[in-house]
Amino acid sequence: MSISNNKSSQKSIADNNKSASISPELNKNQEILAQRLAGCSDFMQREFFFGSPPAKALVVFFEGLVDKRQIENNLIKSIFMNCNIFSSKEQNSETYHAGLLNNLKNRVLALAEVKNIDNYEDIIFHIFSGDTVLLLDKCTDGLVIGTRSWAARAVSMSENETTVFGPKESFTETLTFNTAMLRRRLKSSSFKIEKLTIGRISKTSTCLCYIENIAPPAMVSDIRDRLSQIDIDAILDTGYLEELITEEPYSIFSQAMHTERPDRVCGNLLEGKACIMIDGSPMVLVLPVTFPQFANAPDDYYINYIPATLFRFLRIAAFGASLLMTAVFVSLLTYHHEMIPTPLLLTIISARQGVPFPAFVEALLLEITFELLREAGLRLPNAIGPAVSIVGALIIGDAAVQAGLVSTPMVVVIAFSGITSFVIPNYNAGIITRVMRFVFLIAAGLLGLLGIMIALILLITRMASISFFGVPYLSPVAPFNRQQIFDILTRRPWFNNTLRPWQEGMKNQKRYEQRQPPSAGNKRGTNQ
Amino acid sequence: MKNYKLSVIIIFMLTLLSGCQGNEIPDLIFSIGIGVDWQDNQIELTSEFIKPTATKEDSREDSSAVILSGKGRTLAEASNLLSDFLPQTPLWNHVSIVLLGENLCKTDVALVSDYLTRTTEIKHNIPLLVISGSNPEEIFKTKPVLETYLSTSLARTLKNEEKQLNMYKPVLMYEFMRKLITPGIEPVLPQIKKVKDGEKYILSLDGLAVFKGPRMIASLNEAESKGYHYLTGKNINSGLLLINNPEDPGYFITFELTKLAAEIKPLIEKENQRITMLIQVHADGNFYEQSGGGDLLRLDKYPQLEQMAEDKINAYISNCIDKAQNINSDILGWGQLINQADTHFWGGIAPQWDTMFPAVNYQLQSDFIIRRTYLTSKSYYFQE
Repeated sequence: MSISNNKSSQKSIADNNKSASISPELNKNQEILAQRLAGCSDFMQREFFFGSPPAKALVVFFEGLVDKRQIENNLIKSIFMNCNIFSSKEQNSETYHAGLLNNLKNRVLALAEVKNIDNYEDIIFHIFSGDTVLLLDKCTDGLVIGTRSWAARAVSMSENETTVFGPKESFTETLTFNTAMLRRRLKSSSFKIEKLTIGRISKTSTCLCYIENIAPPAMVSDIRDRLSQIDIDAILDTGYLEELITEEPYSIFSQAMHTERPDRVCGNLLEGKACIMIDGSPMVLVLPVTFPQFANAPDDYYINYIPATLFRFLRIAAFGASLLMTAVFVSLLTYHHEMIPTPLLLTIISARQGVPFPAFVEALLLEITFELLREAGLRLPNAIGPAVSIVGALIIGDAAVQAGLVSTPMVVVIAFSGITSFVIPNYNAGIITRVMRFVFLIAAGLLGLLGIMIALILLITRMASISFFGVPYLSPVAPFNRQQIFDILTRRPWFNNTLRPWQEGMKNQKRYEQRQPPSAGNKRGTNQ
Repeated sequence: MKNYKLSVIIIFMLTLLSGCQGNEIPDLIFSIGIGVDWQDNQIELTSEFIKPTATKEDSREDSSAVILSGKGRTLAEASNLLSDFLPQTPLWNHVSIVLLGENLCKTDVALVSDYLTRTTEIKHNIPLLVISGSNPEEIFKTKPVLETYLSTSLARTLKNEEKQLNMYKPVLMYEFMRKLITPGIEPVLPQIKKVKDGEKYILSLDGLAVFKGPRMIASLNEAESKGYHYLTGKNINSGLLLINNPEDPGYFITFELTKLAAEIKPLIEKENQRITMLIQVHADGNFYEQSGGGDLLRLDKYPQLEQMAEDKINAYISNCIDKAQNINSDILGWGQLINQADTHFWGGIAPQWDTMFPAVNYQLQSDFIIRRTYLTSKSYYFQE
């Protein structure tokens, strides 16, 4: 109860302050600001006088968020240098001071972003965002001056989604850089970037991007509504948003693709998806996505379509192997000995002699060890990282087999299924696969192939029953769409890829009017 | 929410089901071949088991198989008694060959046929062999050539045999059982025997055992077996055919068969119930080897060579037919052919087919064509 009371009282204070407009007395303003920002040691203010009769001015900003040189050169210096503009014989102070602000804005400040504000809430929001606010005595307006500049990571190569071909750059933590990267690729007025602020404390700038005449309007407004309804103290990564706007809160399946590649985001925007970016995180959410889409890698679209299609088959096979291989192996060893070919059985018999654990326990131990190694490799500092893999390779690969604790075929199977889980181009889908693998392993240990089938049926039924923002999670496999299933299984050549993947409410499904085969007339020699 | 709870309960209950019973591989002992015989009015089951070896090195030694026997009034009882004193459970899924003792075959195959096909553990697509002049245990104790286990070695030898020598074909259990119960066709099985080769014994295939009803009544020798294979084999595309060298007596000419197909059609004269089988053999072959001299590879000599090859094929086939009619066992399936040609007529003669079969006439015609001569297109002309 007390919490809710606090919440409501906070809200009321916020409401009161919002209405509080700037006082004409600069001293009072200064006092209020100092009071509200008490304890913020990075809060800076600079007082000065200019013109004749001298007018008192106050510049407030937060250290580290602003470019001080801009404040010095383009704000304070230009005011001092242009003092002659402000000498007035008129002593009617009210008109003089009101004109002063406009004069400053229109004739003096050599800065691109300048706008008026009139209340404390805006002042505080803007200085927190890295802008500078200029207040004048006897003025009920202030000027917000865009001087944002902070230490930011430069655009660098994508680290988690590396490709051989295609663009290399990745998003950074700075929202403006990220929107610029998208805007540079989609030079169209129909590419919309809607801005909103989320988080009571963090007040994180969030962008909802989509292409207006491709993305279904109902889906966009649904996402917008869900975003605007979020009430949370802070947003530190886009992962927060995914859970906050989801339609299936109790589900392991991810409805959004997390990516740090601008080209991947643009590709998805062009297929009628929307994306959400926030300030402070290089990961961008693309939604809604479907499960079969996780087999697509960004590379696919940059290399020749024939190998790209074959690689896609390979990835789909790897997905199946990652999910089922260990489970099938365990169930063969425990329940279905007749299904092992005799020569393989001979090898397995000699390898499994003296292994103290049942096949299921052995597989479970090895899988857990593999996950431990993966997790340890992720957490360890770069300098110690390789040590883990050496220890892992030595202990798991050699010593455990030598000691007779595990059998070699099992190590091979676990290692293979471990590798295949990393083939899946989407990290999130890889995680789902690895978690589900344990479910299948337990099912196999309990009921053999029968258990695997039960687990598979439950998994597929569950996946088929969910849909995100009107897109069924398994489409186009279920509901089946013959035309689009080719888009998932194969990579269509660009000259024959006229249709975008269909979504409910999509207005503009055609990429271009008709198939455009590379014409024979353009071939060298025929023109002569 | 209620559904969720229900499904969780159901899933946990599923784990308590006793549908599949898991068995760890170290708790099992796998049989890879079995032999069945009839001795002292008891069924004797002998099995070759894979010895669970501690290390891989051991498996290369000769003691990698374990041979165990059990006796009982029925095959099921014998199998049960065999596993009585074993620390591990025997598993019969990987049985790759079944050896039938001569004694059992001559007494009655029906002693074991039911269990072999009824049990869920033994596959139906494994070959059967009849042991001649020995018993299963002795055969299993023979050291296999080049392989670790005798049973797998035998199964693979049989497969290879068909390609190389063109004399014996593996007869799979379901084929055998089907022929056993179908009127108008009798089964044969390849025979295996133990041959002394210097100090040790080796195994070799030796003719075909011929059944009539559930009993073995005779066996075909190699030449007759070849004739049987030519008549009944499908897609024959390998094997050698030797004829005498016409220019150089005492030497041979070898043809490699690339195709051989026998077309058998019954010619039925209903009024006097006479049946004539028209057999037409189409064969292609390559000139494979010529031992001895003689300028044979000339166009004008070809018809003569082809004629000799045809005669040879005819001889093999008629040998086989004569033998079958002699012992009165329709191993060639002529009864079935008549059934296919004229079911109504077959219905009339089926009861007395036993007495009719030895008297059935046949007309045999072969057609052999030499296709290639490989790298040399001429014969050697030796200076004397």
